[in-house]
Amino acid sequence: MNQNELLRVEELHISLQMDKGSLPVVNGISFGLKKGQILALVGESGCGKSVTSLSLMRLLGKGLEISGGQILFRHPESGDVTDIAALGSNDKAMRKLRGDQIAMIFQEPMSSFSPLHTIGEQIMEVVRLHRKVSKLDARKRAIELLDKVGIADPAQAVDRYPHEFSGGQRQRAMIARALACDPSVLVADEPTTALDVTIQAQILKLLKDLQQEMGMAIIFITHDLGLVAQMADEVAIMYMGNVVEHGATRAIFKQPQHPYTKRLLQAIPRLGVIQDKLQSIEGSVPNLFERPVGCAFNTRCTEQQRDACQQRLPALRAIEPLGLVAQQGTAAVVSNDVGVVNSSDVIHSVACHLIHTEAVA
Amino acid sequence: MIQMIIKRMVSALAMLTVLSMIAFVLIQLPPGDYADAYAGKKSQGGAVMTAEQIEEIRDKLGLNEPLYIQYINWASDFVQGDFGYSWEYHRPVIDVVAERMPVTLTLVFMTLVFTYFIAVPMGIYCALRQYSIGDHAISLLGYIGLAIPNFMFALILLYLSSVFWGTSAGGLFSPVMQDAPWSWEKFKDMMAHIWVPVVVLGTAGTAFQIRTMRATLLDELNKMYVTAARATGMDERKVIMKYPVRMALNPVVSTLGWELTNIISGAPIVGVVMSLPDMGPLFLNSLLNQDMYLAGALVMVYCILVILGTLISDLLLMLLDPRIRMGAMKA
Repeated sequence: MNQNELLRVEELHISLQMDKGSLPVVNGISFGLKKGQILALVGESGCGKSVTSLSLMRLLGKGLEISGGQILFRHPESGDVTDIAALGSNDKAMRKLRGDQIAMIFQEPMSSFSPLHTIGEQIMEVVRLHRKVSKLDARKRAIELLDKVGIADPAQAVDRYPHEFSGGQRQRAMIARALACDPSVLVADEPTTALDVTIQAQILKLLKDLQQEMGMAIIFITHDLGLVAQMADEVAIMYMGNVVEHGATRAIFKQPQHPYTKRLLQAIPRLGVIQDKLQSIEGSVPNLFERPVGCAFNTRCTEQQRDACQQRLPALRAIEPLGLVAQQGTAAVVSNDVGVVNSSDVIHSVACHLIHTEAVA
Repeated sequence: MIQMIIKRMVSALAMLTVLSMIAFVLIQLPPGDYADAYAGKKSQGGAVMTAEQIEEIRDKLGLNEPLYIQYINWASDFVQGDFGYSWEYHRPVIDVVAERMPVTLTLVFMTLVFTYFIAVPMGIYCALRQYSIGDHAISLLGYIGLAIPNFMFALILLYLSSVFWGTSAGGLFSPVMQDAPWSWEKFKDMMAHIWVPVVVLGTAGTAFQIRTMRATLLDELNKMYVTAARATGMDERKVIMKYPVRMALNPVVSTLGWELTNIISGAPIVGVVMSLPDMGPLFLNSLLNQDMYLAGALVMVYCILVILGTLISDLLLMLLDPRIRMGAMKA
């Protein structure tokens, strides 16, 4: 784990426990998150991005288990490193981090609040769980938070019930609840998917403004590359439980390397470009029971495939600086160790046999 | 809110009026009347009544008036608190009913308490430990409880208690206390006996409510707000009790009125089978003897209990769920 990293996910495996053995859902992914950085996890539904995000808080649903790897969290004040993957989901140590240091906002603002309790009560509860404050102070804090996320008339709104809020307001309130204890990491699992496009833009702006003001790091889970370009510093593209490409947002958008990333980017409709049909990627994600042998993308890849594509899962490895790649078409391997990153720039790495031509011995 | 309650009360009154008409007609429906029943009884004893004598009784009791006149007379007296005269008991109906009512009310209330106090925790347990041995065992017992008719269950318990303990589980009092005036001792004696009819009356309802609680809670446990509550760092047990359990209580509470109906309609048969001194045997006898004012009053009492129960469950629901409360305020 690097000194400047808050969170380091190392070779994380998550599997679905079933009667007949277990099924891998997340297949050994690694990434790091620096202080104040926005990292986007991108992929189609079922690629394991939501499961990964839930595992960071140990909130995996029934049957899903972390079956290997580490989730290291460095406490920003004390500097102590905790392996979240080694804790029990209801352990006191885990509960102390949850909601305080690592907070989360969810996909469906409509159902993320209990309809029977006021918004204020549900925010105050988080404050009182982690801070020794009086009920009155917690209430003041809730009003302050609601004001911060742009809820009009927060002193009144604090006593309202969720059904009196619109979808956008509820997502704002959800953000207020997540930020109640100034978390250092905010996990946002498709926070705008359920909202109208105009509201979506407002919420994203709010998140970005709050991030700059409060300095937390955000893990932003989405399937929408358009949002990634606006929000993220760094992107990890996921496919069937693996990270297939990882790099700075700029690099990913300007010089996508993995065939899957390229196709994803082509699928974004562009203003001013007249298209008869929306571009889509042929085929669909294989279901988890029928994971292809070799590269998981080999059933949909349109490139000229090599033997290795059918035989081995490609490893995520760094590529040479962009210029070189553009000129030569293929990149030389600079390092196998993705973890050693110069703090100022992010190594662009990709998991594809077509790019890393030399087979690793 | 208060406006809402008043509204509900008014509609309850209208409901009662309609019900009283139906009840009155229904009681009159079987062939014959009290005069026939009386003559029948007399003839069993060897005495013979002439047609004139029977007609005379009819005249005296007002049974020859048209039905609507009889109804109006009865209803207007009823509103003024005069429930009429029981020909069978030779006492005012209100005295007969008042004697039996406390026992019925106690029985109904105890059964409700029994039902919910057992069903809610068991439903929670079953949902949290879905498919565990405990869950399966409770489900099995529940199915048996649902499947056995009340009177059958009562008979089985009566049989078992006399075979194994040599005592009768029937009745509500020990022989010593049977005719004693109400006292603390008598109350304790009743409590010692009442659990048998309570179990008989409550088992089916309990089984049903366990299913309801289990199913709703299983639904609620998968909702996003539960994960969101866990994400705050709250202890798992507290999360479950504060959010999904609270939500799952709503359908359970809303069936309260309906559950009350079930208990009340089951009570007469159980009362007869177990020879309880409640309104059950009284009701059956009044129908057999065509003692119409007594029967009418009893039907009305049962109806009032059901309507009150529904009203109470609606009010409770409003108390529990802000969405319903506010919907009611706007309406």
